[in-house]
Amino acid sequence: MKVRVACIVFKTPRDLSAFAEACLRFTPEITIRPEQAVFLEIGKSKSLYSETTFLMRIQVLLRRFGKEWVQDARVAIENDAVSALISARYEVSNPMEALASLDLTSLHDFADPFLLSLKNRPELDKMIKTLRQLSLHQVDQFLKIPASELPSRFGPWSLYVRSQVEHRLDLAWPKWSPREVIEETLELAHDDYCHWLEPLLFHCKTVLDRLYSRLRGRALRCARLRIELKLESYSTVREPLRAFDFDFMMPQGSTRRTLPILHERLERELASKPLESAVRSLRIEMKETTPGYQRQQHLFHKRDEIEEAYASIAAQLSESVGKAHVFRAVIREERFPEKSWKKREHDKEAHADVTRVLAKRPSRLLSTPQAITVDREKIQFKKKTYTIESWSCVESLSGEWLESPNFQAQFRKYYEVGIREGPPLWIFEDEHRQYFLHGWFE
Amino acid sequence: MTEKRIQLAELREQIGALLSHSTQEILSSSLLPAGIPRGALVELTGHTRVEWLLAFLREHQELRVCWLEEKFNLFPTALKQRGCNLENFLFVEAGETIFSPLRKAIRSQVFDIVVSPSLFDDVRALKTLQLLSEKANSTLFLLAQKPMHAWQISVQLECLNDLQTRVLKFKTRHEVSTP
Repeated sequence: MKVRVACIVFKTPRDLSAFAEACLRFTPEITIRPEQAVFLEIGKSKSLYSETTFLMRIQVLLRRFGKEWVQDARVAIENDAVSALISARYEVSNPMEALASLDLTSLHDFADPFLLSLKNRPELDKMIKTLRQLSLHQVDQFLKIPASELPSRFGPWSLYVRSQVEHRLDLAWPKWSPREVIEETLELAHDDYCHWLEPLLFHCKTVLDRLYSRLRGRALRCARLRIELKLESYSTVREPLRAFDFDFMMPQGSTRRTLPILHERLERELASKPLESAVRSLRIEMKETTPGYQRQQHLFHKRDEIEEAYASIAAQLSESVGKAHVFRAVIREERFPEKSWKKREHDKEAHADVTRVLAKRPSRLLSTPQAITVDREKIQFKKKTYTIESWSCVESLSGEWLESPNFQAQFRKYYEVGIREGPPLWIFEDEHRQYFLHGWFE
Repeated sequence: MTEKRIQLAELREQIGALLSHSTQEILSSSLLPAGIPRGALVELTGHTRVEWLLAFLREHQELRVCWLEEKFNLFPTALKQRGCNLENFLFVEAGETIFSPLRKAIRSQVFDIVVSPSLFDDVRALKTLQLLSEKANSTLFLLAQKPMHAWQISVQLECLNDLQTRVLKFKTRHEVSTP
């Protein structure tokens, strides 16, 4: 059976999961290029509808999603995913014949139509930049370069890109399936009169209990949550739907630990913008889940309870001061001090070994080194003078030449300087013989 | 009846004896022979207070620590170098409103050690922190430039060079000791 692939490409990035789910009526073989395009294999469905009918039905579907979806979308049907993407994206009827009009940036689409592997993008960008410097701007000019010369000039990846342009190798489609929605809705009676925080939290608890029971059954925890409140739609109500999104710093596994976080946020939000009328329905959706505990609760040790409590307080603190301001640190293997640590993103990140490799580091580090004036006996910083008592041996650091625009390495000579007025300072001298205060040993 | 009264009085005495001799848990430290009491406010002054604290925390790797700062300029790489267990550290950059997150952290009863800059002049604020620490059995370390005259602070230490310690005040729940 002949393969026919339809590609719907959108100019502006958007969440396509709902649209892809709606396209399941046409075919079960669907995949997504994240936020950009939806691919459908319609060759096997030709007995159900023709390609012309399909194009008309897609337009109807797009209209249901909104006017901007119709204006933003381009549809094309070709014999493979790459050709369909190129046709739709660059609005060409036959990609093989239109290579002369395709800019070199389209090589990204040839190489990786499903955006599966971002690690090769920098290499391809570098190749495109070099080709432009050689006054080559179109794909057909790229094809004129002999294949034998590509690996030595641009690396092995360039040969793969060329073969994709010429032969359109069959690529395995990444698996896509509609996201399962875990939600619960509670319809409130008129006499419930849920207009303030306390009754609202009371009803949230009921709904959360059910949701967490479901999650526990699947050994999952909640990482993101959405609460939607539908208010009584009187004529004075300007916003009949209020929504609150929660992105927990650490996944939560129970109602008891989640309620204080909801209380913190809802108290703040409703104080600044109270509910305009009573709530008539409450919907809570678990937007994102993570694997939870599959083990049995330890009878003699409150290990799981302590971990849950820890996750809860971390999430509460992040609600209170901001998610970016509550973190755990992980040490990296970087020469320069300001890059030697970062905020932990995953539990599995391991620390680099710094005890044996690095010289002693100060307990305080400025985020940006501050310029100071140093002479034999004194340090001047922010109109204050400090008397130098001792200098340590020098520690020289150099690096970052790859990141600098001129490929020039940065050099720093670090000293621990003892001063009379306070704790020892950690200063460095750069390649321009300028001194900077970077930290101190408090 | 008289016998019963005598028995009751003896019982009351025994209970009273038990209560008055109830011990406060102490975290041992090579830097301070008396140790650091749990559920108390400890103020650290001196130029090397952070180094002193890190040396103390190195001896207690299992303790969960919440470290709050107004503006975060602690260097985690140095903490790792000093031998602290970074897995048990949670850092909070609280800005000007540090009291509210500090109170939450202590009240959660999750953290064994809470560290904060000493910014609280208000007696009520200190009293709140002291009661919360006692209830949570968490030790609150306050890092200060100069020692404060506050009865709520149980232990005041001046951290000197080479991790030497000068005890300015040491008070457990049932004893007061000031050299």
